[in-house]
Amino acid sequence: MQNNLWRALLAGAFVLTADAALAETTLTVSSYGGGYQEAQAKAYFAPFAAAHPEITIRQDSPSSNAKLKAMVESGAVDWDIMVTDDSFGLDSDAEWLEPIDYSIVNRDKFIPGTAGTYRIASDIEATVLAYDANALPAAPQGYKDFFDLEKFPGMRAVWKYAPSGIFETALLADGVPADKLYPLDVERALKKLDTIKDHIVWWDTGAQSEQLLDSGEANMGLVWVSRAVSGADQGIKIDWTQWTSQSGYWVVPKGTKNREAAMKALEFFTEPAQQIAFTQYMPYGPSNKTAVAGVSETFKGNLPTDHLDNRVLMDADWWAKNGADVDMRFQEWLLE
Amino acid sequence: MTLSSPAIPRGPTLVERLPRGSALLVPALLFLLLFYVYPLAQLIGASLPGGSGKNYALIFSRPVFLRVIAETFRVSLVVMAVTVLVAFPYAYAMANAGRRALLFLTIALLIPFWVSLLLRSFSWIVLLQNTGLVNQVLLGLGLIEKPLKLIRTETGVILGMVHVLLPYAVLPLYSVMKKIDMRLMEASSICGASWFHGFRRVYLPMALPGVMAAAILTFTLALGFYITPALLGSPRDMMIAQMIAGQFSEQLNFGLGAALAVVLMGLTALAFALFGLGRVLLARRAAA
Repeated sequence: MQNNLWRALLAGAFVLTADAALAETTLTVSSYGGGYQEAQAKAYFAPFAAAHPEITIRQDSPSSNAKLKAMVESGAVDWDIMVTDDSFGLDSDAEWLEPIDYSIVNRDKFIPGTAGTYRIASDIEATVLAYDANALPAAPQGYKDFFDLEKFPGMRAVWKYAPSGIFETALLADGVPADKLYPLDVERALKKLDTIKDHIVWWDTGAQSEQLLDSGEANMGLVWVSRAVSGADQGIKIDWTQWTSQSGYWVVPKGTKNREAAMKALEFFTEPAQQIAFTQYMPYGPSNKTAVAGVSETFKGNLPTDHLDNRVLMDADWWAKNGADVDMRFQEWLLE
Repeated sequence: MTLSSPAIPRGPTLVERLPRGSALLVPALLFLLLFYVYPLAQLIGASLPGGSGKNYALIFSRPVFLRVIAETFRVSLVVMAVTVLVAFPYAYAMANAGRRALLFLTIALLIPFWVSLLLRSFSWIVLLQNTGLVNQVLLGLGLIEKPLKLIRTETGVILGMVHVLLPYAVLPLYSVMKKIDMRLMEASSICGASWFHGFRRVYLPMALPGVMAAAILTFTLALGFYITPALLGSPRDMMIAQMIAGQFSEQLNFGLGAALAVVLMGLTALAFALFGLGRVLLARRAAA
């Protein structure tokens, strides 16, 4: 009995060392978990491991800009790659990130505006105008209709987050031309928002936004495209007249010991074959321009990249500079 | 010259003066020092970047922060009062119940306690929303014509928070109440006291330590509530913990987030001190 136990342990140790000898590098990748990360594992991580047996990918979740920052500041960098959102990975975040090595990653393959000094887009996501086709008298067309309480009475679900696109949405609805959005006229946007303030239900989590639309609590909403698509069987439709960009980005924390392997992985993850595979599982478009035309049929028509011409590109640099002030003003406005 | 001062009888040293068995506290104290005092000191440090108090200046100059802090304390006080009022009869029933009833009451209390906070908040949404169960039943029965506004109101927040906090009030109350000798109530009624008089003069003073413990526990926990007010309240019901989380995870402004946390902690300590003072005053009144 005792003997068997020792033998088993010894065998285990042997397997472990054998494994370690084969895989010299372990890359730890952190993403947002859930279906999103599962899709990334199937489309990116598994093929990468097959193509590079010397590199093992260890997954972690959830991604957190705050955690990455704390890791770098304390000198204990456990992540080699992290998926992040629009608000992070800008030039103003240089302190915490390795620059993307464009001698390994091909910069020219990306859709304009999605490859920066410290980040490259993993996929193109969107905040869209979703609506309950059964509850509305007609299909809304664009942000003007979102603010039109006469034609479209009822509650609207909106993300309670200043850089969610709500300021841009309000200004566009108020008649500001898309190319003159920035610098944002915050007070004008809030004045426009005042006109529907009593008809807004704010949401904090993606699940909440989906619940609001599915239950009929709200009949219109500015929600993430994935949440809108998963309500399709409940009669939730998407108005693609205008949409705000909201993407996923790869970043590499400063001080990682596997910088080169991480860059190699990023180049691989953003190749057309992998990005097209990803569109089988998630309604997010590829960031690689040659992959856009070849996307899977699963969500075709509801991928943000199918509507690139209508994209309202958010100015992440403007938000990085002014985000804190706008947020404070937004919080004050919410309490008014 | 010789300094032969008369030997002063030496008092006990500091170590000797400690009560016996103090050494047993060492592991707990070390743990607190390492995992509470040290990170706390770091938090205070983070709130003062480069020794500058600009984060605190900002908090006390923008009305948004003071308003949310005041709101947090007000909601926590209401939640504390409601929770203790609801918990009192429940704990009384538990303390005086037979074996089977006690088992049932305990299970009914603890099962929701083990369910995730997020899940419970979402369940309240399903019940309280305009298209939710409560409103549909009332509409169906013809008792109301328009859905009642139950969710995204302060009522919703208080309901959700009381539900979450109930066990924290019931358990300390129960542990005090089950030690109260009910024959004292009989004695008081033999002496001619009405039930209410006996309750007020005999039972309540003995249950008071439990009430105090329940009140302190629920109030302090309520101050830190985050997800329940976010899901069940309107933006006007924002509590300070939501703001702290926003500064850390959305704004990445660790300094301001830390300063807000320190202010919350300071005010909580103040509230504790007031509770303590109240207790001393009550004890004095009882002794007099």
